[in-house]
Formats: sequence, structure tokens, C-alpha cells
Amino acid sequence: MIYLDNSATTLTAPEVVREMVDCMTYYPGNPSSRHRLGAEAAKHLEDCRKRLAKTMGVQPDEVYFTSGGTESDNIAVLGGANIKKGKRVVTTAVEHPAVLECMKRLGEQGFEVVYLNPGKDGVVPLETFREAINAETCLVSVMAVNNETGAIMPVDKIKPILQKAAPRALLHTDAVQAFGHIPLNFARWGVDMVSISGHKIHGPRGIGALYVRKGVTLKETVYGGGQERGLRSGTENLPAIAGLAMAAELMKSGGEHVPALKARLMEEVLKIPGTVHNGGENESPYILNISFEGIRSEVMLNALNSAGIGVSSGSACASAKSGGSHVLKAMGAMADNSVRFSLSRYNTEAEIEATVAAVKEAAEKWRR
Amino acid sequence: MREIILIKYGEIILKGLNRSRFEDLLIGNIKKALPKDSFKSVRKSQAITYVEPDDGADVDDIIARLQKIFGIVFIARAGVFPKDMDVILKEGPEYLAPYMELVDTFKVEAKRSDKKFPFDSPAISREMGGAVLRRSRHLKVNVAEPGTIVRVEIRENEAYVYADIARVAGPGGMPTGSNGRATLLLSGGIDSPVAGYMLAKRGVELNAVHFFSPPYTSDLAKEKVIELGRILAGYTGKYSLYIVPFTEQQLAIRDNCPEEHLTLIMRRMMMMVAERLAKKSKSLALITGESLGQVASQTIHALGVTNEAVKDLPVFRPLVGMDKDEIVSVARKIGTFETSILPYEDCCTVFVPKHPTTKPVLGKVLQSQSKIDMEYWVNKAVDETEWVLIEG
Repeated sequence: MIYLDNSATTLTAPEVVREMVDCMTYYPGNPSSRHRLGAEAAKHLEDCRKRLAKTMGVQPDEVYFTSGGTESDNIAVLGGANIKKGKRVVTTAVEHPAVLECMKRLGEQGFEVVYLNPGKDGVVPLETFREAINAETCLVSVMAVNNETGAIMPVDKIKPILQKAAPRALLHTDAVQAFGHIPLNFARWGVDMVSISGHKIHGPRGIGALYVRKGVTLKETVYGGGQERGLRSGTENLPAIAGLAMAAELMKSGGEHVPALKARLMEEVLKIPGTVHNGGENESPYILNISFEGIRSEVMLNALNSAGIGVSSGSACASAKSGGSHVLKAMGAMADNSVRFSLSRYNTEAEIEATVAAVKEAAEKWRR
Repeated sequence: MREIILIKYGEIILKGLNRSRFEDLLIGNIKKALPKDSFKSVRKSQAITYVEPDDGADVDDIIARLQKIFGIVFIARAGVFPKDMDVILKEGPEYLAPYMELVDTFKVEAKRSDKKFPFDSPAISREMGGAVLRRSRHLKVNVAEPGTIVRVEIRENEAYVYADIARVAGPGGMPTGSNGRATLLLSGGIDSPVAGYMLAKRGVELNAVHFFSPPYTSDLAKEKVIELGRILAGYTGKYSLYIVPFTEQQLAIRDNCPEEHLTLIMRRMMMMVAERLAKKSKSLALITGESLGQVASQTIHALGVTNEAVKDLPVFRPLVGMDKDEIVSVARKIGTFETSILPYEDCCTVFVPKHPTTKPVLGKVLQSQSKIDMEYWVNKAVDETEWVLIEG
């Protein structure tokens, strides 16, 4: 299969598999145990934390391991919103459900949640944030890269707005689709919390991390044995943590050819009559979202699947539900006709050429 | 503790001379439905069929499978004891104790097919009643309205002890195969599996036809239908599923025929294909999940137009007078509902006219249909049909 559904999940890197097997073999202890095996596991855990922190450009004691992007988002949003600091929470209409569902809860708890709409290019303009953020704001949560369109949000420019209008507010970004794909500098951008996930960067599922800037305290949302400095109790998933650290290191190189692949795919697919690019200039080189006029998403999906090509319509999470993509609807795009191609460093030029040919054939054959 | 399973059947007893044929059919169906190494024997004796589980077999699993076999009215598990009154009186109440927790009153009925057994039926009942009372002290005897009946059966070689409260219901109906074979038009929806179930319950052996339209319908949709077929096969035993590729036919209809008749012409073509496949597989009827008035294509006028496409075979529509709620409750009972509501496209919903006719006139539909070569497309569909064996 030509795999172009990397925003749903990525293929596990062989180096990651080896790292995890080694970890399970040589570090079987519980990091909290007071004997040698425990101590070795604890040491390994902290090594992994250091390695991951380095790839994120942050300090090790600012990194907390979680069960994945969803849990990181939950801890950040539910733990970061503080009604004593202000009742307004600002987010975008195109966030992942992991954030949107938390926002719904906050709304029920009495917060005033403001959902900002993107422009036609999928990006929420900075100006919109400026208008929404006021002195009552206690939390801003905005994704770094949208999972359906690849749109890059202006996370880097929000802190100055906050400093002026709401200096005590926290800034969270869901960087699950951005980490390893676009240049990020959380420390310089003044972001307070960052969610990342293992399985979007060729690491294992069931593992993620939350960066929490030093000095920021969050309400705990998981209770138990006090692991991860009390923020996220539960015995550390050490093999997956080791896999995540390895995966993050691998992302530093190997994806240099991906922008050219996307450019080629986009250029060729947009030659097909009736196609629209759901996005704009400011976009992740790993995600391309196209609507095909006269062809419903699932028809293109099924046709490409029969040709041995795996893509999706919108996000995997949205595909399981019905009703179409909330992201594309917010952009005013043809939501029922969209196909998301999401690439990885394992894709080749030949695969892209084969995909172009299959898409052209399917579009010609099944357009009605 | 060795146990035996007693199976009682209802309706088939009434069938006079055919009774023994029905019983043999039922026994054959039981043997087919149970894992080969799970039972020692399946035999009948005086209107009861006995399944003797193999040592160490999972009796709960056997009973779960029996509960899906048409013709069975109820299933009881009984303790097997040596024909020794002391042993029966000592161990029988112990075996019954967990069931007796569920009731306040009981009575005992004894049956003795071995007349040489030293106790007669009233004596067995009396002794057993006393023994049960001593073991389960909360109980009282109530002969008129007992909470349950404890049964002691003295057979040729051994004795069986059970309580009616330990019985479970079977699905009733008639043994599969006792009423010929029919072909079910199986979509991915809620209705058609229920229609298949209802006819299967009347002893009809099934096979099924499914139409799929890639890429308008996905592999997942096809898998879903196979899964529905598999759930049905739990009741009917294995059967053939014919999978008919139908994309080109649907496109031909769509591109050439007037829009308001698209669905009707498609359904007529499906009926024609199904009838051909039915005849090929020696089926004697078609079965559909149509229910009067449920959608535009199932008004009384539309059903008439669809029905006219079938040349020779009767078309059974067991749901025709049922409400959706009633159909759903059967679907839940037989376990197809959760699979049916998985959200995949099925070929009936691929090209739906915006304004379908609800009172179609046959002549006009035939006129619309004449825009394409029906015979050609029906033959092509039949020729390209794939065959899958569905097992429960």
C-alpha cells in the first residue's frame, strides 16, 4: 500500500521498534521501585526525558509523559483554565476534538468559550485573536498545525497579545501535527504548554508528552501514585517513552524531500478539472487537502483504496462519525468532497507519481 | 458433576407422520451447530432430544448455540445420577440448590420409564421433596402454584434431576431445511437480516444475494454484510452468499433513465438478478426486507412495480406489516442491529433521486426502463457474481 494517511497515524520506524524491544528487555523495573532494577529504569526514564526535551528545545523538567495527544490536551485545557484568573477561554473552531470536547466541558462549568473561525486558507488570522483576547482571558488554546488541512496557525505571535491584554493567561498549543514537521521554538514563542504525540512521528501509540513551562502550575486531572511530579499519575510506560524519544530524534532529519513531494502532488492534482485546494500558502509540507467537485469523499477513498493507496477524508476521528468535517465547514470548503493526503519521510517520488496517476484516473471515471 | 441437556420442541410434534422426519432434521441441525468434540451423542426419546456433552465440554456454550436452533422451544440442563435412590436423594438437592435460591416454593414431579425401579413415581416425589426441603431450608411445597417444578426422571441406565427454573427458551419455529430454500436480498440495513431470520424460523433454508457498488460503496460495507450474514448463519447454519457487482448497472440507469424512476428501475433489476441467481441455486422463493410505506420505493404502488419484475418465484416480504420499532426489536434480539447501524454506504443509497415517485405507474416505469438494455445488464451482473460461503 502507498501510505498517505500519516496524519491518522504513521508507520512505526524500525529504529523505534528496536529501541522499545531493548527497553523491555533491559529495563523491566518500575521507576518508582527502590531496588537496582527500579533505579535503572528510573535512570533510563530520565535519559529519555532529556533526549525528548532536547528535540523540543526545552528543559527536561518541563516535559511530562502522558498517554498521548488527547490526554496532553485534556490536562492542558482542563488543568490550565482557571476561573479565578478570568472566565474567558479562547480557542479555534478547527481544533482537534481532544481540545473541542474539553472546551465544551469548560463551557458547562461556566467559562465563556470563544471559538475563532479560520479564513478560506484554514488559518485563523492573528487579528482575530487580538479581537477575542481580553483582560478576562485565562487560557488560549490553538493548534500549531491543523490535522485536516495542514494550516499553520500563528502560535508564534500570540504571546505578545496576551502580555498586553491578559498577562496572567496561559497559552497552550496542540503541536501533534507540527512537531517534527515544521520549525518550532516554543521557548522563544512564549508558549506555556505544548501537546505532542508519539504515533504521529513514527513512534508508538499510547504515548505522548506535555511540555509545561517552568513556573506554570496546572490543576491535576489524573489522580494516583503521583508519577510525573503529580501531574499525571500512573506507572510510566517506559518502552513507549523510549520509543517516543527515539522517534523524536529521528525526526530531526530524513524529511528533507517531503516538501518537494507535496508540491509535485499538489501541482498535478490541481490540474484535474474541478479540484480545489483547501488551504493556502502557510501550510505544513506534510498535509494536502483537496476537494474534488462531483466526487464524494468516500468514492475517491474507495477508488484509491482499490488502487492500493491509503488516504482519508478529513481526520480519522471525524471519519468515524458522520456529518462531515467541522474544519472544512468552518473554512467554507466543499466538506463532502474532500480528500486528505498526508505524507511522511518514507514516501518516495515514485509513490507520488503512482498516486497522481490513480487520482487522475479515478477522477475521470467516477466524476458525476 | 455430569450434566445432560434436554431439548423440547413444540410445533413439530403436531405434524403427525412428518414428525420423525422433522426430529431427524432437528438432530442433524443440532449436530452441525455444535463443535464436533463437544458432545458424545444427540438422541431422541419420547418427544425429548438429549444432548450428552463430552467430558469437560463447555455446557454453557452448547446451550448458547442450541438457543439459536429453530424448532427448539426450550432447553434444560439436568444432573445425571446413578439409579440409586440414596445417591439421588443425597446429591440431587445439592445440585439443585443454586437454582432453588431463585424461588420460594416448589413441587416435585417424578417419571419412571424403568418400571423395575424399586420406588414408584409418588414415592420418588415424596422422598425427593423431603430431601430438597432439608437442603434448601427457605423453601415451601406448593402443589397448586409452585415457583418451580423439580423433575426426577428415572431412565433406562441413569436418572436425571433438574428444575424447570433452569430451563432457557429456544427460538421456536421449525427446523431449518424443513421448508425448502429461498433467496434473501441482503443489504447492509436493519430490515433484510430480520426478514431472513423470520423465514429461516419457518424452516426455510437460506441463501443470500448482496449488491455492491465500488467505489461508491467501500470494502468495509461489504465486510459488514458478510458479518451480518455470519450472524444469521448462527441460526441457519452455513449458506451461500452471492455478491453482485452493480456499479456499472447503477451508472447506466442513472445516466440513461429519468431521475424519478432511478430507484424503482434499480430495484427491478435487482429482483431480476436475484431471481436468476435463485433459480440457479434451486431456491423456491425470494425474500426481501421491504416494509409497506417505509420509504418512497416501498409504497404499495412501488412494491407493485418492483414485484412485476419477478417472473416466476413468489416474493416473501415478512416485514410488510411491521413498524420500524418492531423490526428493530427483532434485530436487537437476533444480534444484527449493532452491525446493521454501522455507518457505511449501501448501494441503495448511492444514487437517490431528489424527488422519487411515490405513486409510480408501471407503464411509465417500463417506458423509462426501456432506455437501457435490461437483459444485457442483468446477464452481466449474474455472470460477474462472486460466491462466498458464510459460516456462523
